[in-house]
Amino acid sequence: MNSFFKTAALFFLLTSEAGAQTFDIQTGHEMKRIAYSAKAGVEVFAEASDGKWCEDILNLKIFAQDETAFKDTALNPLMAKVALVLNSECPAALQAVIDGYSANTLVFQGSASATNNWKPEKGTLKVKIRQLQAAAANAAVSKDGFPVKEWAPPAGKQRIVAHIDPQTALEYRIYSKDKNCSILYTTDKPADKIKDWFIGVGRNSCSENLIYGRAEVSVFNEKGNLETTLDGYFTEGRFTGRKNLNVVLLNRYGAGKNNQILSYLIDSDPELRIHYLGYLKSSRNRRTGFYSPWAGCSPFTIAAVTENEELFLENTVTDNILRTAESFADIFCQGARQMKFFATTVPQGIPGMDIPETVRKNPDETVDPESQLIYAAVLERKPGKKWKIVSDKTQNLAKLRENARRAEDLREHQLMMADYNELTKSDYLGRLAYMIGVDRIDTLPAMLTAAAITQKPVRVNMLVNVASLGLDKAWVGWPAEFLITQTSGLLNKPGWHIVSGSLRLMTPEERKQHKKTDPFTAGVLELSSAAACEQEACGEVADLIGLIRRRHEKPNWLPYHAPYKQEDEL
Amino acid sequence: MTKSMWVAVTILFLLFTACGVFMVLLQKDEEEKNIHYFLTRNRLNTAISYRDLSLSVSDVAVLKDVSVRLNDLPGLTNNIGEFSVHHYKESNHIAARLSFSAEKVDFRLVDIARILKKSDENVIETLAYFNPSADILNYPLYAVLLAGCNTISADVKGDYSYSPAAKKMTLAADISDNCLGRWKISVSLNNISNAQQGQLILAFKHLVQKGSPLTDLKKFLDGAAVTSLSFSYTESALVNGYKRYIDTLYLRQPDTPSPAEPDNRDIQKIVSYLSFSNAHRQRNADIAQTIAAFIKSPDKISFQSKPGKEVPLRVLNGTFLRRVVDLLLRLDTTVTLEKSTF
Repeated sequence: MNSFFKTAALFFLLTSEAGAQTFDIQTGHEMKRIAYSAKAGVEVFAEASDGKWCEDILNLKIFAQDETAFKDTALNPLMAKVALVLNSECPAALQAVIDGYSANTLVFQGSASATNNWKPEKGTLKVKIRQLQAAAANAAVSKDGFPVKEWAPPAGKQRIVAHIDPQTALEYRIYSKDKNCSILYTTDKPADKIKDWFIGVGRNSCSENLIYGRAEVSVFNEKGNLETTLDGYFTEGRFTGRKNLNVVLLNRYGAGKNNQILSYLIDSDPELRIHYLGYLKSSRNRRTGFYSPWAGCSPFTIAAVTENEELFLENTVTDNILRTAESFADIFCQGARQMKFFATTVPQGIPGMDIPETVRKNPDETVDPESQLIYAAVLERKPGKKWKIVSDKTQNLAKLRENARRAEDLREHQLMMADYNELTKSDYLGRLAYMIGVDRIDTLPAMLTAAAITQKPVRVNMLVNVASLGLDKAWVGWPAEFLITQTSGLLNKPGWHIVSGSLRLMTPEERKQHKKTDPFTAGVLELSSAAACEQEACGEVADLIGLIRRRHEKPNWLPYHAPYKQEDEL
Repeated sequence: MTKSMWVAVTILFLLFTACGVFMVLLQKDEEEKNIHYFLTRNRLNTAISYRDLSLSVSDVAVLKDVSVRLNDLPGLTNNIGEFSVHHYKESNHIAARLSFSAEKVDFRLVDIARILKKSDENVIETLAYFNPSADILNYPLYAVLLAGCNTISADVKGDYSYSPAAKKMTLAADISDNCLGRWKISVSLNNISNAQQGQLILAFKHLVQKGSPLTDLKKFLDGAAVTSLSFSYTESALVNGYKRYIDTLYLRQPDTPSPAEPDNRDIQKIVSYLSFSNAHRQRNADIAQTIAAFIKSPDKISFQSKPGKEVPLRVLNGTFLRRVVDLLLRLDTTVTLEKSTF
């Protein structure tokens, strides 16, 4: 026994050996021993997070002296005892993911659930699915969750329920005669006929009224004639042919009636804020009218759905994410030769990823799929070899956008520098003109003279100090006393403004009425726009950097100066 | 005196009066014929018109409400209230002396600007980007308009005398207007040949006839030398108006120095400019200070050349302003400020 505990202690201390799957505890996680058997040489630990181990989904680690402890004959009684502990100390627990170790090596992976009286089930895929469900559930309930474009894996601690799009997904549920069993069948036949269809099931027992696993299903049409026979594997009632795909379905939808798509959740990485999704496809045979079994391994298509576009700016991070995708390919599609990897901001609707390349964007849609795509790559491998990127099919739109953004930033910076250099030489009126985005600021005498010579109103922009406001008019106190009309909604307070409008000379009647003797100050401005100054005489333009920042909406911009080159350095 | 004597005196008085009136009418008719002949002979009759002619006791003919159609400004509305020729004398068919005056020479500068404009856009552009120092010489008309002067009603006096034998000519003008102020200039020229004198007459003719007065003036001054120059300007509203425009242009706030008034830096610039071809730095500094003082408080400024100086115009080079400045300096001109009574 001592040797066992020494082994267990050593387990926590020793580093991994080459080729061995060793126990790995994430940072901040600790272990709580919930059961042990000295006789059998077994200890059961529950992984705890922040001191709390009792969750709806438990991660159990079983350390045994030898592998025989994980045979059904030994494990079933052990789990029965564990169940007693869980029922008393953690009644909230509903599922458990079980990792079994012997001699520091992971030798067993399985799961158990309260609904099945904690009877252990063996299988890495099943374990993985449970883990994914747990991760997704945790991600969905975490305080700061990470929805992507307002999308997140469906919340729900027990199970993720697939969403079916009734508009595009051509799917019908067809029952056996006794209504105990059913499949989800894809066909473009009319619904009023399908409702009379039925199935005959061989070599399978149904669970929750849907066929799981290996089965031979005969589909009969409304006339009682055999329509087709589905001989192979089923996932939640959907026929997957010879591939036993056990996945957590997310969405089911179609891209036209010829292409049906089914997405499933592979993993959620809260640290990198990525949801990994896989896709199954079923295509309609135009000649026979039948749909192919659901397939997702040739090629294996995976999407990293994230808004964290910066991840793909660093090659090392991108490589790590690709390696993660490769490991998912090994789990879900061992033996796949080609993998299509996409990084997107949306879980669906990307040509080449889930919908066919030929499907063009709906003209009514305002979002360009290209803008939602971050990265795309095709990887291939030969038997027994590592995955390799097919270089000519790689698109790093994140980098392209970043480069474009940097180029745009540089261009704008150059523009701002040009503005800065120009404005340092510009006078006060030049700066005022820049502030409001006009060519120039005019002076009253000059423009009234121009109006007198041309005998037409002149379009002007002027700095004025409004002295008083009247009904739809105002009198200016500076630069001279003149009238502004049509002020309603444009001028609502006295003070310094930059006004724009049409300036004309007063008529002789107006001059007489307003007692204006000097014709070149007797003007009337018909106002078209007005901007109030922040300081007296718009003194804020003295802050040149602030002026440029406001104009370009770059609050943190700073000018740089090229290093001064000494003549003797030449 | 008896009754018959009273009757005789009255009849004589009436006879003399009738004779006087008859003689005046005859003289007026003669004068009108002379003027008409003069205008026709010089082909001015289509360009100059007048409403009335009067004769004063001193036999000075006064034309009233004269209107002139200028060659380069067709359609310019103008009116001269009275135009009088006080003296006219010829020597060997060459005009040796002329003295004239014109009262109430009325026109509007904006009308001139309208006639001379290239396009509306050009006018707006020029005025919007008007440089208050450099463009005074480039666009003097706009500068005067920006100073607030438009309606002109000037009194003009002119004197001309020429001695063909001595080749000497003296020209003097005295122009005064309520807005433009009073401008007095007198210049004596040496080495003026008969042909050059003819060019001057042509220059005046070409104001109303086809031709280039500027070319004529250039030919007139070719080879001439200035022996005396006096100039004075008395402010009315022109300088102050222009200063007001500059204040507006540079957003001058109340109780702050006017940007139009030269500061020490500007005075130094004027000194540097004056010293370009002259070594009299102290005198130049005094001139600059005087000009600055005048701009600051405009009243009357006078330029008077030193007697005995003579400057051939051909030695002057550069821009118009440069030549004028050079001329003043070579004539050893003194600049003084005076109190005016204008």
